[in-house]
Amino acid sequence: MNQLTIEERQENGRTVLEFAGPVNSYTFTEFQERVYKAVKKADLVVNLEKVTTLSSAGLGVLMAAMEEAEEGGRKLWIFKPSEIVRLAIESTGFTDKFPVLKTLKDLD
Amino acid sequence: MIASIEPRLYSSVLPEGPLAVPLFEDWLDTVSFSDRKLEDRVKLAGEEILDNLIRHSGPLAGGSLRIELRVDAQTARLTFHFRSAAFRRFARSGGTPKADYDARDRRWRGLGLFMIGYLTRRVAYHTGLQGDRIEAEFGAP
Repeated sequence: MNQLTIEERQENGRTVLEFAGPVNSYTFTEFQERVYKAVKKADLVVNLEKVTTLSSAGLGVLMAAMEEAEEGGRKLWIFKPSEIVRLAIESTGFTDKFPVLKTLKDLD
Repeated sequence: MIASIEPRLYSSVLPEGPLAVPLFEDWLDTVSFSDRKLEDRVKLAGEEILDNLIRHSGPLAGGSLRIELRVDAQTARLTFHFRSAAFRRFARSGGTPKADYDARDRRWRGLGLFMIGYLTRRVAYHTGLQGDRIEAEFGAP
């Protein structure tokens, strides 16, 4: 069974969370905990390049985390979404709610 | 010109419960798709259908469900076979899909049905003497 792995680093005052593996109904709790913990403290970049699937639960977490970040005066961006993640976002019909970065330099 | 590929058939059995989704992913990894976009659609929609099935079915007869996948160069049909009186009641309840923020779970809910509608060509639920099945079709007819 594929596991969800998470790496965290700080870059220019922002937190970058890099996820690899599946974000599904089995792993989304861990995804949720890490995203919410990070977005409370600083702007957050969520790297989804190595994510192999993204379920509605994971998407629901991202949408709520974006709103929570905004309420706290912070921002959340999606970075390098994999093809399947792009399709998952597109399939919700809420594409405009997911700010996607092509490069981290876009933030500087 | 796209070469015609004979349809291939795959099947497996999944246990009820939270492990069904990751085991479904593992099984899908063994399937040979010639179109990556088709594979992604089957994976995403299949997981959402399965997650809803497990959540709304209660105990399944035999504690498991059977999955079948028929795939060719451009299309796929994914079928979930199971038996559940609770799911029959759920299916009859109807209602319109709606996405809403759930303050208790701190996330948006209801996105799965939108995803399924976008990713599939058709989804149908059948129930009868032989049990229940959900069929999802993908790709151009």
